[in-house]
Amino acid sequence: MLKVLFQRFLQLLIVLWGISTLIFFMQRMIPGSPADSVLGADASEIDKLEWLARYGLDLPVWKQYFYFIINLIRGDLGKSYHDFTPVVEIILPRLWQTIQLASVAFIFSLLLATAFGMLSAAKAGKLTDKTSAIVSLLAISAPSFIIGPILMWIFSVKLELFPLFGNEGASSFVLPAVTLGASLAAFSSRMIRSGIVDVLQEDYIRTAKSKGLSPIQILAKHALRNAFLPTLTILGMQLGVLLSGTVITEQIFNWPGLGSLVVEAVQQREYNIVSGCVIVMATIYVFCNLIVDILYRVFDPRVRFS
Amino acid sequence: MKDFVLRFFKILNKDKFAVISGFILLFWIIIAFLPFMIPSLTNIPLTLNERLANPSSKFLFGVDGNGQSVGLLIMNGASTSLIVSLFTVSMSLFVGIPLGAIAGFFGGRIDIFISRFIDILLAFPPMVLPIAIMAFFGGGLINVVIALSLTGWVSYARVVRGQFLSFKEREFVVAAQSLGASSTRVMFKHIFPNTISPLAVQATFSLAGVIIAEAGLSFLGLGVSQAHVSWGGLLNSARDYLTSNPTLAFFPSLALFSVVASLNFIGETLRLTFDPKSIGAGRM
Repeated sequence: MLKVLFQRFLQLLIVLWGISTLIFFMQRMIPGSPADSVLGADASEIDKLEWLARYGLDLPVWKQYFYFIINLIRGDLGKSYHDFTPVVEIILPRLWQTIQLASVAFIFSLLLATAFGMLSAAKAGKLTDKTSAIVSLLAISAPSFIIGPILMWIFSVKLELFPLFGNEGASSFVLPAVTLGASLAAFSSRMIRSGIVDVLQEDYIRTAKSKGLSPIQILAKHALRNAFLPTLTILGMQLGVLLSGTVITEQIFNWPGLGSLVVEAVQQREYNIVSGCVIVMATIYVFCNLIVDILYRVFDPRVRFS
Repeated sequence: MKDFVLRFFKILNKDKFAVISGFILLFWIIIAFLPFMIPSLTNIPLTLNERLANPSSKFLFGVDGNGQSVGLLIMNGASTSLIVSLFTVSMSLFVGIPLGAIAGFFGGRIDIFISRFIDILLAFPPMVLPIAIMAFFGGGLINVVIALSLTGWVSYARVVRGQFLSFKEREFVVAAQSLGASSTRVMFKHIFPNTISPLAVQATFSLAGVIIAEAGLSFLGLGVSQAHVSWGGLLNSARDYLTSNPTLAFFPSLALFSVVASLNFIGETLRLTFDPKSIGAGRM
């Protein structure tokens, strides 16, 4: 187990190195000098050179790359182009906002998915199941920038139940969390459903049935636990997606999280912040996947010992 | 292949949703082609005194904040969606199939190299890499296609790699090889046909995915440039008028939703055709 863990961690480091390298070189490939976009094209050459030197952008690319990696290891994502604030200091408060929203959305989606998944598994092949299959396919087809404005229009504009924008306390969480959670739940409820249906065909379920257990007991005690495993991967991935900031949903609701920071940074041409955000997002996502991998080994002895 | 066509129509016969989806899709394809046939349709006049007019007999779907007919905007948005999705999926197939085939068939170092590269691309949460690419290199139709293809080929490469891995050990492949068939012949003549069905399913779902992704990028202001109309861009500008003119958001939403849902329903039918055992909702 420890050896596998170590191997996976090593793989993770390689992937993280790959991500940062890719982002670094992409940022260097941006046409035009960053000094022009920050200071304006008509700034004096001396000012531009001075600015470039301040950010170490006057060095040869391989040297820049070397410092970039060294700084990254020290947890330094560079400085803001406009006021030299460390990018990490800008990102952290935004990340906290995203984590709050992601947690609420994840719990909502999990509850919704489990309820719908169990219901349609129990009625597999019947009308309830078919309806829920169609509803979930429709929900998957409606991206957040369709669901979000509709919810906003109904609940904020017409009914005035929730605030339109930003994070103004508990009621602000409802609409963005529902927007995020609904489409995730549409997806994972089908996973839970097919997981349960597969498990229900196993021999030990027949044994449980013949023992005289009620369907609810069978579902809760025997089926759900085993059906949960295949769903784990998808849930971990979804948590990763949520935590890494769902750019579009945050943009719709003006949520002051990591996702909207990216959009703001792009508008202000703060490329160091864009790169920093992308690296942070990918790191969180990769860690979520690693945790799922470990959990899988903890829950499923077959994986652990193979 | 003939069996599949028969099966497809057999399932289609029972599956009303897929039939309706087919008609909806056909409708949108015709709409999307109209601006190419009649170039004057791409020239949307500004009627400033009709700004934000509600749907009427003159403007069936209303007028937006710039004074342009929403109906014409949606039509041109359909063309953009069609171009971006077709080009992106073709590019992704073009890159993904050979790389996946090489990785799966030859294995060894080249497989490790390609697989590690795929791992790195998959380490980005969905949409984050395209957003970064668009952020760095600016908007435009070609950039959108490149940004979405750069991440899109991965799913095809994985499907093809998996198929090649499992098929290269099969008897009929080993037999062909022992009869002296070259690697390219084995790859294209014997193994590749077996990857077509999962690829077709994947491609249908990813057409839907690409349409959503393009609209999403344009929604963020990181999509096609001003020269092209995008449903995502329309939805973004409609946000300012959500309280006063909700129809501005409604019609582009309906357009996008109907296309994506149709593609997903057809993808689902295709999946059932090729893989009758799997029952469930479509993948993203």
